[in-house]
Amino acid sequence: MGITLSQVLILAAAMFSIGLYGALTRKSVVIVVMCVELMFNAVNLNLVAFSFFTGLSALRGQVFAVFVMVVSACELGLCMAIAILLYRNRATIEVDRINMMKW
Amino acid sequence: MPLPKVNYLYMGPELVLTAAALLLILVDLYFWRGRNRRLAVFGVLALLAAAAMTIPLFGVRGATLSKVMVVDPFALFFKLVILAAAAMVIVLSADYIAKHKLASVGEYYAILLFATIGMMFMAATTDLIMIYIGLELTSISCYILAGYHKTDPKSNEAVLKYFLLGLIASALMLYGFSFIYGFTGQTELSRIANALAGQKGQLAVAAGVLFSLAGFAFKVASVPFHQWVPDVYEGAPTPVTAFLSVGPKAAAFAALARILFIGFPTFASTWKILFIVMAIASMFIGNLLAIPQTNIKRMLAYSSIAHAGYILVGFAVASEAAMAGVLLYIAIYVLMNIGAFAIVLAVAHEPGSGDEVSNFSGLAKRAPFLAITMTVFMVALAGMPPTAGLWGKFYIFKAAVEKGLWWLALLGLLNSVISLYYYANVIRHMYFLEPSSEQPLVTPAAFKGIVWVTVLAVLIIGFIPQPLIWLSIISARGFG
Repeated sequence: MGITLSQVLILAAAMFSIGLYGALTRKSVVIVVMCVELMFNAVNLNLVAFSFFTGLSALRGQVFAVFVMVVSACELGLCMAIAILLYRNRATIEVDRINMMKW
Repeated sequence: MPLPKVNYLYMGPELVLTAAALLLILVDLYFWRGRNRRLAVFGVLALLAAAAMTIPLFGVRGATLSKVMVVDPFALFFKLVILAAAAMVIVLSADYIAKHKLASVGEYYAILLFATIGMMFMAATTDLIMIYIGLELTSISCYILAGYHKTDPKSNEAVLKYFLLGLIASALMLYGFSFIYGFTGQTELSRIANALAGQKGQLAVAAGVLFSLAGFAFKVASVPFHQWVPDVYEGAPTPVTAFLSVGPKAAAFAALARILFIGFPTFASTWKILFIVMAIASMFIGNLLAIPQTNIKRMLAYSSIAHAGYILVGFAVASEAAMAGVLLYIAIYVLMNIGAFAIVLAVAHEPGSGDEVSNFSGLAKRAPFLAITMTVFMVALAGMPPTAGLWGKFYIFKAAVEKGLWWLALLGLLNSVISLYYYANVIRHMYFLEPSSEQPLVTPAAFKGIVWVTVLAVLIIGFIPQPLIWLSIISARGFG
Protein backbone atom coordinates (compact mmCIF):
# COMPACT_ATOMS: atom_id res chain seq x y z
CA MET A 1 0.00 0.00 0.00
CA GLY A 2 1.95 2.94 1.28
CA ILE A 3 5.22 1.05 1.55
CA THR A 4 7.78 1.55 -1.22
CA LEU A 5 10.88 -0.37 -2.20
CA SER A 6 13.23 2.32 -0.96
CA GLN A 7 11.64 2.32 2.50
CA VAL A 8 12.23 -1.41 2.81
CA LEU A 9 15.81 -1.02 1.57
CA ILE A 10 16.48 1.66 4.18
CA LEU A 11 15.06 -0.59 6.90
CA ALA A 12 17.26 -3.44 5.71
CA ALA A 13 20.33 -1.19 5.60
CA ALA A 14 19.60 -0.07 9.17
CA MET A 15 19.24 -3.69 10.31
CA PHE A 16 22.48 -4.58 8.55
CA SER A 17 24.37 -1.71 10.17
CA ILE A 18 23.01 -2.46 13.64
CA GLY A 19 24.00 -6.11 13.20
CA LEU A 20 27.49 -5.19 12.02
CA TYR A 21 27.95 -2.76 14.90
CA GLY A 22 26.84 -5.37 17.40
CA ALA A 23 28.99 -8.09 15.87
CA LEU A 24 32.06 -5.90 16.16
CA THR A 25 31.46 -4.58 19.69
CA ARG A 26 29.76 -7.34 21.70
CA LYS A 27 31.78 -9.77 23.80
CA SER A 28 29.70 -12.91 24.17
CA VAL A 29 30.05 -15.37 21.29
CA VAL A 30 26.31 -16.06 21.30
CA ILE A 31 25.35 -12.38 21.08
CA VAL A 32 27.88 -11.79 18.31
CA VAL A 33 26.27 -14.59 16.31
CA MET A 34 22.81 -13.16 17.02
CA CYS A 35 24.00 -9.86 15.56
CA VAL A 36 25.32 -11.65 12.47
CA GLU A 37 21.91 -13.29 12.13
CA LEU A 38 20.45 -9.79 12.06
CA MET A 39 22.75 -9.04 9.12
CA PHE A 40 21.57 -12.19 7.35
CA ASN A 41 17.96 -11.20 7.94
CA ALA A 42 18.63 -7.79 6.47
CA VAL A 43 19.86 -9.60 3.37
CA ASN A 44 16.70 -11.72 3.30
CA LEU A 45 14.53 -8.63 3.60
CA ASN A 46 16.45 -7.09 0.68
CA LEU A 47 16.03 -10.18 -1.48
CA VAL A 48 12.34 -10.58 -0.77
CA ALA A 49 11.64 -6.86 -1.22
CA PHE A 50 13.45 -6.78 -4.56
CA SER A 51 11.58 -9.79 -5.86
CA PHE A 52 8.23 -8.45 -4.59
CA PHE A 53 8.55 -4.91 -5.91
CA THR A 54 10.38 -5.40 -9.20
CA GLY A 55 8.70 -8.64 -10.28
CA LEU A 56 11.71 -9.53 -12.45
CA SER A 57 12.10 -13.33 -12.35
CA ALA A 58 10.54 -12.94 -8.93
CA LEU A 59 11.01 -16.48 -7.70
CA ARG A 60 14.79 -16.26 -7.70
CA GLY A 61 14.88 -13.77 -4.85
CA GLN A 62 12.47 -15.80 -2.74
CA VAL A 63 14.42 -19.01 -3.36
CA PHE A 64 17.68 -17.25 -2.55
CA ALA A 65 16.18 -16.09 0.76
CA VAL A 66 15.16 -19.67 1.63
CA PHE A 67 18.70 -20.87 0.93
CA VAL A 68 20.13 -18.13 3.13
CA MET A 69 17.83 -19.18 5.97
CA VAL A 70 18.86 -22.84 5.68
CA VAL A 71 22.56 -22.01 5.69
CA SER A 72 22.25 -19.63 8.63
CA ALA A 73 20.44 -22.36 10.57
CA CYS A 74 23.45 -24.63 10.00
CA GLU A 75 25.76 -21.87 11.16
CA LEU A 76 23.71 -21.35 14.33
CA GLY A 77 24.07 -25.05 15.12
CA LEU A 78 27.81 -24.79 14.67
CA CYS A 79 27.87 -21.67 16.85
CA MET A 80 26.28 -23.57 19.74
CA ALA A 81 28.77 -26.43 19.33
CA ILE A 82 31.70 -24.00 19.42
CA ALA A 83 30.29 -22.14 22.43
CA ILE A 84 29.90 -25.41 24.37
CA LEU A 85 33.42 -26.52 23.38
CA LEU A 86 34.91 -23.22 24.56
CA TYR A 87 32.96 -23.24 27.79
CA ARG A 88 34.20 -26.75 28.59
CA ASN A 89 37.85 -25.95 27.93
CA ARG A 90 38.13 -22.35 29.04
CA ALA A 91 35.02 -21.77 31.22
CA THR A 92 34.29 -18.57 29.28
CA ILE A 93 32.65 -17.62 26.01
CA GLU A 94 33.78 -14.02 25.98
CA VAL A 95 35.52 -13.19 22.75
CA ASP A 96 38.16 -10.88 24.20
CA ARG A 97 39.33 -13.45 26.76
CA ILE A 98 40.13 -15.96 24.03
CA ASN A 99 43.44 -14.41 23.06
CA MET A 100 46.27 -16.94 23.32
CA MET A 101 47.56 -16.13 19.87
CA LYS A 102 48.53 -12.61 18.89
CA TRP A 103 50.56 -11.29 15.98
CA MET B 1 6.69 -25.70 -15.38
CA PRO B 2 8.83 -28.51 -16.83
CA LEU B 3 11.72 -29.69 -14.70
CA PRO B 4 15.16 -28.99 -16.19
CA LYS B 5 16.99 -31.90 -17.77
CA VAL B 6 19.90 -33.09 -15.71
CA ASN B 7 23.10 -34.33 -17.28
CA TYR B 8 24.41 -36.63 -14.57
CA LEU B 9 27.70 -37.19 -16.39
CA TYR B 10 28.61 -33.52 -15.93
CA MET B 11 28.18 -33.69 -12.19
CA GLY B 12 29.54 -37.21 -11.83
CA PRO B 13 32.57 -36.28 -9.71
CA GLU B 14 30.43 -34.37 -7.20
CA LEU B 15 27.86 -37.18 -7.01
CA VAL B 16 30.59 -39.77 -6.38
CA LEU B 17 32.13 -37.64 -3.64
CA THR B 18 28.78 -36.97 -1.96
CA ALA B 19 27.99 -40.68 -1.91
CA ALA B 20 31.48 -41.48 -0.61
CA ALA B 21 31.27 -38.87 2.14
CA LEU B 22 27.92 -40.19 3.38
CA LEU B 23 29.21 -43.77 3.16
CA LEU B 24 32.28 -42.84 5.19
CA ILE B 25 30.10 -41.68 8.08
CA LEU B 26 28.00 -44.87 7.95
CA VAL B 27 30.98 -47.19 7.56
CA ASP B 28 32.72 -45.50 10.47
CA LEU B 29 29.58 -45.92 12.54
CA TYR B 30 28.93 -49.61 11.87
CA PHE B 31 31.92 -51.47 10.42
CA TRP B 32 35.26 -49.72 10.69
CA ARG B 33 34.83 -47.94 14.01
CA GLY B 34 37.88 -45.71 14.34
CA ARG B 35 39.88 -47.69 11.72
CA ASN B 36 41.86 -44.62 10.81
CA ARG B 37 43.94 -45.94 7.91
CA ARG B 38 41.15 -47.85 6.18
CA LEU B 39 38.91 -44.80 6.30
CA ALA B 40 41.71 -42.64 4.90
CA VAL B 41 42.29 -45.07 2.03
CA PHE B 42 38.54 -45.02 1.33
CA GLY B 43 38.59 -41.22 1.17
CA VAL B 44 41.60 -41.13 -1.15
CA LEU B 45 40.02 -43.74 -3.44
CA ALA B 46 36.83 -41.65 -3.66
CA LEU B 47 38.87 -38.59 -4.62
CA LEU B 48 40.79 -40.58 -7.24
CA ALA B 49 37.49 -41.87 -8.66
CA ALA B 50 36.20 -38.31 -8.86
CA ALA B 51 39.40 -37.23 -10.63
CA ALA B 52 39.04 -40.15 -13.05
CA MET B 53 35.54 -38.91 -13.89
CA THR B 54 36.74 -35.32 -14.28
CA ILE B 55 39.58 -35.90 -16.74
CA PRO B 56 37.45 -37.34 -19.63
CA LEU B 57 35.29 -34.19 -19.50
CA PHE B 58 38.15 -32.05 -20.86
CA GLY B 59 37.16 -30.73 -24.26
CA VAL B 60 33.49 -30.52 -23.29
CA ARG B 61 31.87 -27.12 -22.96
CA GLY B 62 28.38 -27.38 -21.56
CA ALA B 63 26.11 -26.77 -18.64
CA THR B 64 23.39 -28.55 -16.75
CA LEU B 65 20.75 -27.71 -14.12
CA SER B 66 20.08 -24.36 -15.86
CA LYS B 67 23.74 -23.34 -15.65
CA VAL B 68 24.11 -24.12 -11.97
CA MET B 69 26.75 -26.62 -13.03
CA VAL B 70 29.07 -25.56 -15.84
CA VAL B 71 31.59 -27.82 -17.51
CA ASP B 72 34.48 -26.00 -19.18
CA PRO B 73 38.28 -26.35 -19.00
CA PHE B 74 38.45 -23.58 -16.39
CA ALA B 75 36.20 -25.50 -13.98
CA LEU B 76 37.92 -28.82 -14.68
CA PHE B 77 41.38 -27.34 -14.11
CA PHE B 78 40.34 -26.09 -10.67
CA LYS B 79 38.54 -29.34 -9.86
CA LEU B 80 41.66 -31.37 -10.55
CA VAL B 81 43.82 -29.03 -8.47
CA ILE B 82 41.35 -29.18 -5.57
CA LEU B 83 40.98 -32.97 -5.78
CA ALA B 84 44.75 -33.42 -5.77
CA ALA B 85 45.09 -31.13 -2.76
CA ALA B 86 42.35 -32.95 -0.85
CA ALA B 87 43.85 -36.38 -1.59
CA MET B 88 47.30 -35.31 -0.39
CA VAL B 89 45.80 -33.76 2.75
CA ILE B 90 43.95 -36.99 3.59
CA VAL B 91 47.20 -38.95 3.25
CA LEU B 92 48.91 -36.45 5.57
CA SER B 93 46.01 -36.53 8.06
CA ALA B 94 46.13 -40.26 8.86
CA ASP B 95 49.38 -40.16 10.84
CA TYR B 96 48.51 -36.85 12.49
CA ILE B 97 45.19 -38.27 13.70
CA ALA B 98 46.91 -41.40 14.98
CA LYS B 99 49.50 -39.36 16.88
CA HIS B 100 47.06 -36.93 18.48
CA LYS B 101 44.30 -39.53 18.97
CA LEU B 102 41.56 -37.34 17.49
CA ALA B 103 38.04 -38.66 17.98
CA SER B 104 35.43 -39.47 15.27
CA VAL B 105 37.86 -40.18 12.46
CA GLY B 106 35.28 -41.09 9.82
CA GLU B 107 33.55 -37.74 10.23
CA TYR B 108 36.87 -35.94 9.78
CA TYR B 109 37.41 -37.49 6.36
CA ALA B 110 33.74 -37.05 5.45
CA ILE B 111 33.84 -33.34 6.33
CA LEU B 112 37.02 -32.98 4.28
CA LEU B 113 35.18 -34.51 1.32
CA PHE B 114 32.21 -32.17 1.86
CA ALA B 115 34.58 -29.20 1.82
CA THR B 116 36.02 -30.54 -1.44
CA ILE B 117 32.55 -30.81 -2.98
CA GLY B 118 31.80 -27.22 -1.97
CA MET B 119 35.00 -26.01 -3.62
CA MET B 120 34.29 -27.96 -6.80
CA PHE B 121 30.87 -26.30 -7.04
CA MET B 122 32.40 -22.88 -6.46
CA ALA B 123 34.76 -23.44 -9.38
CA ALA B 124 32.06 -24.80 -11.67
CA THR B 125 29.01 -22.59 -11.29
CA THR B 126 27.89 -19.32 -12.81
CA ASP B 127 24.91 -18.75 -10.55
CA LEU B 128 25.16 -16.47 -7.54
CA ILE B 129 22.93 -18.71 -5.42
CA MET B 130 25.11 -21.73 -6.12
CA ILE B 131 28.31 -19.74 -5.54
CA TYR B 132 26.92 -18.87 -2.13
CA ILE B 133 25.93 -22.46 -1.32
CA GLY B 134 29.31 -23.79 -2.48
CA LEU B 135 31.14 -21.17 -0.47
CA GLU B 136 29.16 -21.93 2.68
CA LEU B 137 29.54 -25.70 2.27
CA THR B 138 33.28 -25.11 2.05
CA SER B 139 33.39 -22.61 4.91
CA ILE B 140 31.26 -24.57 7.40
CA SER B 141 33.29 -27.71 6.73
CA CYS B 142 36.54 -25.77 7.14
CA TYR B 143 35.36 -24.21 10.43
CA ILE B 144 34.71 -27.68 11.82
CA LEU B 145 38.06 -29.00 10.56
CA ALA B 146 39.96 -26.05 12.08
CA GLY B 147 38.51 -26.93 15.49
CA TYR B 148 38.90 -30.67 15.16
CA HIS B 149 41.59 -30.90 17.83
CA LYS B 150 38.93 -30.46 20.51
CA THR B 151 41.19 -30.72 23.55
CA ASP B 152 43.77 -28.25 22.23
CA PRO B 153 42.94 -24.69 23.41
CA LYS B 154 44.73 -23.24 20.39
CA SER B 155 42.51 -25.21 18.05
CA ASN B 156 39.43 -23.97 19.97
CA GLU B 157 40.62 -20.43 19.54
CA ALA B 158 41.31 -20.97 15.85
CA VAL B 159 37.79 -22.23 15.15
CA LEU B 160 36.20 -19.36 17.10
CA LYS B 161 38.14 -16.67 15.25
CA TYR B 162 37.67 -18.30 11.87
CA PHE B 163 33.94 -18.83 12.47
CA LEU B 164 33.04 -15.33 13.70
CA LEU B 165 35.07 -13.47 11.09
CA GLY B 166 33.92 -15.86 8.37
CA LEU B 167 30.28 -15.23 9.29
CA ILE B 168 30.70 -11.46 9.06
CA ALA B 169 32.51 -11.82 5.73
CA SER B 170 29.77 -13.99 4.26
CA ALA B 171 27.10 -11.56 5.51
CA LEU B 172 28.91 -8.74 3.68
CA MET B 173 29.14 -10.85 0.55
CA LEU B 174 25.44 -11.74 0.68
CA TYR B 175 24.45 -8.12 1.13
CA GLY B 176 26.37 -7.43 -2.07
CA PHE B 177 24.68 -10.33 -3.86
CA SER B 178 21.26 -9.00 -2.83
CA PHE B 179 22.00 -5.68 -4.55
CA ILE B 180 23.34 -7.39 -7.66
CA TYR B 181 20.15 -9.43 -7.85
CA GLY B 182 17.92 -6.47 -7.05
CA PHE B 183 19.24 -4.15 -9.73
CA THR B 184 19.58 -6.73 -12.51
CA GLY B 185 16.77 -9.14 -11.62
CA GLN B 186 19.07 -12.07 -12.35
CA THR B 187 21.33 -14.41 -10.44
CA GLU B 188 23.00 -16.10 -13.40
CA LEU B 189 26.23 -14.31 -14.29
CA SER B 190 25.96 -14.09 -18.09
CA ARG B 191 22.36 -12.83 -17.78
CA ILE B 192 23.55 -10.27 -15.25
CA ALA B 193 26.07 -9.08 -17.84
CA ASN B 194 23.30 -8.85 -20.45
CA ALA B 195 20.97 -6.99 -18.10
CA LEU B 196 23.72 -4.54 -17.20
CA ALA B 197 24.69 -3.67 -20.78
CA GLY B 198 23.48 -0.12 -21.34
CA GLN B 199 21.29 0.06 -18.26
CA LYS B 200 21.04 2.44 -15.33
CA GLY B 201 21.70 1.53 -11.71
CA GLN B 202 25.31 0.65 -12.47
CA LEU B 203 26.48 2.39 -9.32
CA ALA B 204 24.27 0.29 -7.01
CA VAL B 205 25.50 -2.84 -8.75
CA ALA B 206 29.11 -1.69 -8.37
CA ALA B 207 28.43 -1.26 -4.64
CA GLY B 208 27.08 -4.81 -4.62
CA VAL B 209 30.22 -6.13 -6.31
CA LEU B 210 32.38 -4.23 -3.82
CA PHE B 211 30.53 -5.83 -0.90
CA SER B 212 30.94 -9.29 -2.36
CA LEU B 213 34.59 -8.56 -3.09
CA ALA B 214 35.03 -8.10 0.67
CA GLY B 215 33.71 -11.62 1.24
CA PHE B 216 36.07 -13.07 -1.34
CA ALA B 217 39.04 -11.11 -0.02
CA PHE B 218 38.39 -12.84 3.30
CA LYS B 219 38.35 -16.27 1.67
CA VAL B 220 41.52 -15.76 -0.34
CA ALA B 221 43.26 -14.24 2.71
CA SER B 222 44.11 -10.91 1.15
CA VAL B 223 44.68 -7.59 2.91
CA PRO B 224 42.59 -5.91 4.43
CA PHE B 225 40.73 -9.07 5.47
CA HIS B 226 43.76 -11.09 6.50
CA GLN B 227 43.84 -10.80 10.31
CA TRP B 228 42.30 -14.23 10.87
CA VAL B 229 44.92 -16.06 8.79
CA PRO B 230 47.91 -16.36 11.17
CA ASP B 231 45.81 -17.32 14.20
CA VAL B 232 43.74 -19.91 12.35
CA TYR B 233 46.75 -21.39 10.55
CA GLU B 234 48.68 -21.66 13.81
CA GLY B 235 45.84 -23.12 15.85
CA ALA B 236 44.30 -25.54 13.36
CA PRO B 237 45.62 -29.11 13.12
CA THR B 238 48.57 -28.99 10.67
CA PRO B 239 47.01 -31.10 7.86
CA VAL B 240 43.96 -28.84 8.03
CA THR B 241 46.24 -25.80 7.81
CA ALA B 242 47.76 -27.27 4.66
CA PHE B 243 44.23 -27.72 3.28
CA LEU B 244 43.06 -24.22 4.26
CA SER B 245 46.11 -22.61 2.69
CA VAL B 246 45.40 -24.06 -0.74
CA GLY B 247 41.83 -25.35 -1.18
CA PRO B 248 39.45 -22.54 -0.20
CA LYS B 249 41.90 -20.05 -1.66
CA ALA B 250 41.94 -21.72 -5.09
CA ALA B 251 38.15 -22.13 -5.13
CA ALA B 252 37.53 -18.53 -4.06
CA PHE B 253 39.86 -17.23 -6.78
CA ALA B 254 37.97 -19.35 -9.32
CA ALA B 255 34.57 -17.99 -8.23
CA LEU B 256 35.94 -14.44 -8.11
CA ALA B 257 37.29 -14.76 -11.65
CA ARG B 258 33.90 -15.95 -12.89
CA ILE B 259 32.01 -13.15 -11.15
CA LEU B 260 34.39 -10.47 -12.38
CA PHE B 261 35.01 -11.58 -15.94
CA ILE B 262 31.64 -13.13 -16.84
CA GLY B 263 29.19 -11.13 -14.73
CA PHE B 264 30.90 -7.74 -14.72
CA PRO B 265 33.34 -7.57 -17.64
CA THR B 266 33.94 -3.85 -17.19
CA PHE B 267 34.36 -3.90 -13.42
CA ALA B 268 37.96 -5.10 -13.27
CA SER B 269 39.20 -2.38 -15.63
CA THR B 270 37.13 0.40 -14.00
CA TRP B 271 38.23 -0.57 -10.49
CA LYS B 272 41.75 -1.59 -11.44
CA ILE B 273 43.20 0.63 -8.71
CA LEU B 274 41.35 -1.44 -6.07
CA PHE B 275 43.02 -4.68 -7.14
CA ILE B 276 46.40 -2.97 -7.45
CA VAL B 277 46.14 -1.64 -3.89
CA MET B 278 45.00 -5.03 -2.54
CA ALA B 279 47.83 -6.81 -4.36
CA ILE B 280 50.55 -4.42 -3.18
CA ALA B 281 49.26 -4.34 0.41
CA SER B 282 48.97 -8.15 0.57
CA MET B 283 52.46 -8.68 -0.80
CA PHE B 284 54.14 -6.19 1.51
CA ILE B 285 52.19 -6.92 4.69
CA GLY B 286 52.45 -10.68 4.18
CA ASN B 287 56.17 -10.71 3.48
CA LEU B 288 57.21 -8.11 6.06
CA LEU B 289 55.20 -9.66 8.89
CA ALA B 290 56.48 -13.14 8.01
CA ILE B 291 60.04 -12.08 8.84
CA PRO B 292 59.75 -11.84 12.67
CA GLN B 293 57.73 -15.07 13.07
CA THR B 294 59.17 -17.91 15.15
CA ASN B 295 56.37 -20.39 14.55
CA ILE B 296 56.69 -21.98 11.12
CA LYS B 297 52.92 -22.39 10.60
CA ARG B 298 52.50 -18.69 11.35
CA MET B 299 55.33 -17.83 8.98
CA LEU B 300 53.72 -19.89 6.23
CA ALA B 301 50.40 -18.14 7.03
CA TYR B 302 51.92 -14.72 6.36
CA SER B 303 53.64 -16.11 3.28
CA SER B 304 50.23 -17.33 2.06
CA ILE B 305 48.89 -13.77 2.41
CA ALA B 306 51.80 -12.62 0.25
CA HIS B 307 51.05 -15.32 -2.32
CA ALA B 308 47.44 -14.12 -2.48
CA GLY B 309 48.96 -10.73 -3.31
CA TYR B 310 50.98 -12.13 -6.22
CA ILE B 311 47.85 -13.81 -7.57
CA LEU B 312 45.87 -10.56 -7.21
CA VAL B 313 48.45 -8.89 -9.49
CA GLY B 314 46.96 -11.15 -12.16
CA PHE B 315 43.47 -9.84 -11.37
CA ALA B 316 44.71 -6.25 -11.52
CA VAL B 317 46.15 -6.90 -14.98
CA ALA B 318 42.90 -8.64 -16.02
CA SER B 319 44.06 -10.00 -19.38
CA GLU B 320 43.70 -13.53 -20.67
CA ALA B 321 47.46 -14.07 -20.37
CA ALA B 322 47.36 -12.89 -16.77
CA MET B 323 44.56 -15.33 -15.94
CA ALA B 324 46.58 -18.16 -17.48
CA GLY B 325 49.40 -17.08 -15.16
CA VAL B 326 46.99 -17.12 -12.22
CA LEU B 327 45.91 -20.69 -12.97
CA LEU B 328 49.52 -21.79 -13.39
CA TYR B 329 50.44 -20.06 -10.14
CA ILE B 330 47.63 -21.68 -8.16
CA ALA B 331 48.46 -25.20 -9.39
CA ILE B 332 52.15 -24.77 -8.54
CA TYR B 333 51.38 -23.09 -5.22
CA VAL B 334 49.27 -26.08 -4.17
CA LEU B 335 52.18 -28.46 -4.84
CA MET B 336 54.90 -26.48 -3.08
CA ASN B 337 52.79 -25.45 -0.11
CA ILE B 338 51.48 -28.94 0.63
CA GLY B 339 55.04 -30.25 0.29
CA ALA B 340 56.29 -27.69 2.81
CA PHE B 341 53.50 -28.53 5.24
CA ALA B 342 54.27 -32.26 4.87
CA ILE B 343 57.78 -31.53 6.15
CA VAL B 344 56.43 -29.34 8.97
CA LEU B 345 54.26 -32.34 9.94
CA ALA B 346 57.20 -34.74 9.71
CA VAL B 347 59.34 -32.55 11.98
CA ALA B 348 56.55 -32.05 14.51
CA HIS B 349 55.73 -35.77 14.49
CA GLU B 350 58.57 -36.58 16.87
CA PRO B 351 57.51 -36.56 20.54
CA GLY B 352 58.56 -33.33 22.23
CA SER B 353 58.98 -31.47 18.95
CA GLY B 354 56.70 -28.68 17.74
CA ASP B 355 55.88 -26.15 15.04
CA GLU B 356 58.67 -23.71 15.88
CA VAL B 357 61.30 -22.73 13.32
CA SER B 358 63.88 -23.72 15.96
CA ASN B 359 62.64 -27.32 15.71
CA PHE B 360 64.25 -27.32 12.25
CA SER B 361 67.72 -26.67 13.73
CA GLY B 362 70.27 -29.14 12.45
CA LEU B 363 67.72 -31.06 10.45
CA ALA B 364 70.33 -31.69 7.76
CA LYS B 365 72.21 -33.97 10.16
CA ARG B 366 69.16 -35.81 11.46
CA ALA B 367 67.11 -36.15 8.28
CA PRO B 368 69.09 -35.17 5.16
CA PHE B 369 66.22 -36.02 2.80
CA LEU B 370 63.75 -33.73 4.59
CA ALA B 371 66.32 -30.95 4.78
CA ILE B 372 67.13 -31.01 1.07
CA THR B 373 63.47 -31.20 0.04
CA MET B 374 62.51 -28.39 2.43
CA THR B 375 65.24 -26.34 0.74
CA VAL B 376 63.62 -27.05 -2.62
CA PHE B 377 60.19 -25.95 -1.34
CA MET B 378 61.55 -22.78 0.28
CA VAL B 379 63.37 -21.87 -2.93
CA ALA B 380 60.20 -22.63 -4.91
CA LEU B 381 58.01 -20.50 -2.62
CA ALA B 382 60.45 -17.63 -3.08
CA GLY B 383 60.01 -18.09 -6.84
CA MET B 384 63.60 -18.95 -7.73
CA PRO B 385 64.85 -21.22 -10.53
CA PRO B 386 65.22 -24.15 -11.15
CA THR B 387 61.91 -24.88 -9.43
CA ALA B 388 58.31 -24.55 -10.60
CA GLY B 389 57.80 -21.53 -8.34
CA LEU B 390 59.60 -19.41 -10.90
CA TRP B 391 57.10 -20.01 -13.71
CA GLY B 392 53.98 -18.94 -11.84
CA LYS B 393 55.51 -15.58 -10.93
CA PHE B 394 57.14 -15.21 -14.35
CA TYR B 395 53.88 -15.53 -16.28
CA ILE B 396 51.88 -13.21 -14.00
CA PHE B 397 54.59 -10.53 -14.04
CA LYS B 398 55.11 -10.92 -17.79
CA ALA B 399 51.40 -10.26 -18.35
CA ALA B 400 51.67 -7.20 -16.09
CA VAL B 401 54.57 -5.80 -18.13
CA GLU B 402 52.67 -6.41 -21.38
CA LYS B 403 49.77 -4.33 -20.04
CA GLY B 404 52.04 -1.45 -19.02
CA LEU B 405 52.02 -2.30 -15.30
CA TRP B 406 55.78 -2.84 -15.26
CA TRP B 407 56.11 -1.06 -11.91
CA LEU B 408 53.67 -3.53 -10.34
CA ALA B 409 55.78 -6.40 -11.67
CA LEU B 410 58.84 -4.66 -10.23
CA LEU B 411 57.18 -4.43 -6.80
CA GLY B 412 56.36 -8.13 -7.08
CA LEU B 413 60.00 -8.94 -7.81
CA LEU B 414 61.09 -6.80 -4.87
CA ASN B 415 58.73 -8.83 -2.68
CA SER B 416 60.20 -12.10 -3.93
CA VAL B 417 63.54 -10.86 -2.69
CA ILE B 418 62.08 -9.87 0.70
CA SER B 419 60.46 -13.29 1.01
CA LEU B 420 63.79 -14.97 0.33
CA TYR B 421 64.96 -13.59 3.68
CA TYR B 422 62.60 -15.61 5.85
CA TYR B 423 62.58 -18.67 3.60
CA ALA B 424 66.39 -18.71 3.73
CA ASN B 425 66.18 -18.44 7.52
CA VAL B 426 64.61 -21.92 7.59
CA ILE B 427 67.44 -23.21 5.39
CA ARG B 428 69.96 -21.57 7.74
CA HIS B 429 68.37 -23.35 10.71
CA MET B 430 68.53 -26.70 8.93
CA TYR B 431 72.12 -26.50 7.73
CA PHE B 432 74.07 -24.17 9.98
CA LEU B 433 72.63 -24.64 13.47
CA GLU B 434 73.24 -27.53 15.84
CA PRO B 435 70.46 -30.08 16.38
CA SER B 436 69.00 -30.54 19.85
CA SER B 437 69.51 -34.31 19.60
CA GLU B 438 71.76 -36.44 17.40
CA GLN B 439 69.27 -39.24 16.76
CA PRO B 440 67.97 -39.56 13.20
CA LEU B 441 64.40 -38.38 12.76
CA VAL B 442 61.87 -41.16 12.18
CA THR B 443 59.39 -40.15 9.48
CA PRO B 444 56.19 -42.09 8.66
CA ALA B 445 56.07 -43.44 5.12
CA ALA B 446 52.96 -41.39 4.26
CA PHE B 447 54.75 -38.07 4.90
CA LYS B 448 57.75 -39.23 2.89
CA GLY B 449 55.49 -40.30 0.03
CA ILE B 450 53.80 -36.90 -0.18
CA VAL B 451 57.17 -35.15 0.02
CA TRP B 452 58.45 -37.30 -2.86
CA VAL B 453 55.39 -36.63 -5.01
CA THR B 454 55.41 -32.87 -4.45
CA VAL B 455 59.17 -32.39 -4.74
CA LEU B 456 59.30 -34.37 -7.99
CA ALA B 457 56.36 -32.37 -9.35
CA VAL B 458 57.96 -29.05 -8.36
CA LEU B 459 61.27 -29.97 -9.98
CA ILE B 460 59.83 -31.57 -13.12
CA ILE B 461 57.52 -28.60 -13.72
CA GLY B 462 60.52 -26.39 -13.06
CA PHE B 463 62.47 -27.97 -15.91
CA ILE B 464 59.58 -28.88 -18.27
CA PRO B 465 56.82 -26.34 -17.63
CA GLN B 466 55.33 -26.46 -21.15
CA PRO B 467 52.50 -29.00 -20.58
CA LEU B 468 51.14 -27.20 -17.51
CA ILE B 469 51.49 -23.79 -19.19
CA TRP B 470 49.62 -25.10 -22.22
CA LEU B 471 46.86 -26.47 -19.99
CA SER B 472 46.47 -23.21 -18.09
CA ILE B 473 46.38 -21.15 -21.29
CA ILE B 474 43.59 -23.37 -22.64
CA SER B 475 41.71 -23.24 -19.34
CA ALA B 476 41.91 -19.46 -19.05
CA ARG B 477 40.46 -18.88 -22.51
CA GLY B 478 37.51 -16.50 -22.30
CA PHE B 479 38.61 -14.94 -19.02
CA GLY B 480 40.15 -11.50 -18.68
